[in-house]
Amino acid sequence: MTDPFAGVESHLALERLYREEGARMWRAVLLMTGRPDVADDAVAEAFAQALARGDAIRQPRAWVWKAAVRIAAGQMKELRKQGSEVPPERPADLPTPTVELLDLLRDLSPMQRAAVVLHYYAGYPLRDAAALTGSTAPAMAVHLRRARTKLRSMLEADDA
Amino acid sequence: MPDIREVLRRVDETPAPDVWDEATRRQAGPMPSPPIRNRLVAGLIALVVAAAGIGVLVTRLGGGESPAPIAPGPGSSGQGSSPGPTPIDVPANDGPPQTARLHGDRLVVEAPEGELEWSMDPASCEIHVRDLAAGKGFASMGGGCRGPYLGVAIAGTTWDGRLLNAVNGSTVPDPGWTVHITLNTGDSFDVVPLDGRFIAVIYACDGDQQVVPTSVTAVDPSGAVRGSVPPYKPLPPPVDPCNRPTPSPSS
Repeated sequence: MTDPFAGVESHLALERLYREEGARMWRAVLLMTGRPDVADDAVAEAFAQALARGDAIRQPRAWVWKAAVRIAAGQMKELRKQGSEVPPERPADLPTPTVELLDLLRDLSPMQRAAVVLHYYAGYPLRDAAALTGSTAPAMAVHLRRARTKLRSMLEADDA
Repeated sequence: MPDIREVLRRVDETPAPDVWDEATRRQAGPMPSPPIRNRLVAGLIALVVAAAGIGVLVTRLGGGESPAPIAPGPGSSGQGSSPGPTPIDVPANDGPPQTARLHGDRLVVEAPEGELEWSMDPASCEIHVRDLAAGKGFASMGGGCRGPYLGVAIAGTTWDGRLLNAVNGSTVPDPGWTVHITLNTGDSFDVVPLDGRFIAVIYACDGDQQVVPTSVTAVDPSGAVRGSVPPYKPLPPPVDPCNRPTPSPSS
């Protein structure tokens, strides 16, 4: 019979990781996708997959972030195919600054959003941000530069 | 013009929903694959690494050492086969082993700055935390020790031999708070863990420093100590831990 205690340590370590990183991860996915429903699902699914793998994961933090980013990207790809990338109605429970921020980021391409969010919000160096998205560091640098230029011009226009 | 980092931090005003329970309940799907180009590159790298590995293997063949055994965790006391209401040591990575003692039908883990009290009956398990000292409770929240936190795992076998594995964790806001742990097989059949073994893994807290899990212990519903957690083993399939059990008529 399988030991019912097997994997409990890794389960609790993942729960601790969730308590430490879950909210930041959810907000990062929200910024990348603009959709709270996608953020809910991507973060829950990323942790569910990590729980299912248990101790087989050597670096849970990087693994879960990568899973959440890729799950979210996959969902957004599906939504774009269906022509429903933008939520049908603005989520009512988001604070106004967040809604304005999401509107601002909406003008960036998905990869530009990922670059700027993972680097400037989640604090990942370019190389790690590239690994999370399945891209390369040079490509990520280009996305980041373009995103920065666009964001600065938009913010300056807002200031003016 | 505002700094981009500052602008992005506006999102921190948005409360993030707690999806942990949802994560523990769902059957995980497959991990999404990276783009095909990345997989090709990864395949190429894997081939190179495999070739290098074969080279190393060939050079070491005949003189290799057997892999080192995995050492038990600090404080592992190996009481798995020693039933009976005897005091047991439980692992503590940041100090001397803690001691769990049975008081009647209750198992009490004597923890650094408080006491964790267990009481069990066939239908439920209650964990009662008391005498938490300020700043030195059982804590692991949000990347630091901002509040007492109890990480609890509970597992066992059911009266009919089925596996039961429910994991829960709850914030403990005040001394005297009671955490109710309930068990369910996930198939909406309420069970009584007649042959259950129970464990608790407690995250300790020392000031602002979060330390590693410190205690693991097990006791069955009759009060007999059954063992401690074997660390570093793969996770069994997740089981819905939601509903509070009621006694089974078969028990």
